[in-house]
Amino acid sequence: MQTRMSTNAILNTRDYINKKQKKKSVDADKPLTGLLSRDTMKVENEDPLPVKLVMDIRKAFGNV
Amino acid sequence: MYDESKNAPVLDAPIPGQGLTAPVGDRPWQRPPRFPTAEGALSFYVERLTGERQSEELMDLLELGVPIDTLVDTLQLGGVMEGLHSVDVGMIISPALAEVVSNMAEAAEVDYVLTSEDDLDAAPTKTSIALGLDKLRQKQKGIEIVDKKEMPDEVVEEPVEEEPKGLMARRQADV
Repeated sequence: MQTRMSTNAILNTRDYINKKQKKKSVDADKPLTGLLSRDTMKVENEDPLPVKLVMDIRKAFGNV
Repeated sequence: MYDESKNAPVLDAPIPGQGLTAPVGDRPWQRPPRFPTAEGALSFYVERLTGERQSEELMDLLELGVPIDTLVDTLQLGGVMEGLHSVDVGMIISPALAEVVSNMAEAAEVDYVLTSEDDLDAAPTKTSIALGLDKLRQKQKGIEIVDKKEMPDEVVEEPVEEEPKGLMARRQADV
């Protein structure tokens, strides 16, 4: 049971990072207008802790 | 393989309620963990994994084809049992631990399998073959049982004369 859960944790974190990286490249071309432009004023949504830790490890290995 | 004809009792399983016999706080995982935060637990593991001897052993395991997720699970579950961190912290750090191990493998140019799900399509495992055989056996048994059952004698249906329908229809008198 626990084995399956942590396997899912590993896979889900990878999926999240991959999706986020893909989405960024698409969104970067579109300037936000109207009500959406307020998003830039908001504090950026923080990534979940597992994602943060994975990104830290990638940075440490120079693999970002 | 499991032999159905020998219904041997399982004797190495814990007795029901055995987990409640130790006093509360006697087990390491019942006490406050040594590393309450995910960062602390992760740095502990990274230090241990990147040691010269440990990393060599780790790479040997990967070369043998052990998936990274299995390794990480064993590591963090052992940590929970030793009271190093909680189960939750173990779950949080497992993706990062998998990242550490995969990066180490890439640096050492060792081929690795990330999850045990990767090789599901490759070849059937022993367990899947055993399960398939079991299913086949059960199917065959089911067919035999149906064959052995005595089929009921065919009931000869007598032709029933249709009664005239409708409100004004005249019924035929019984003779």
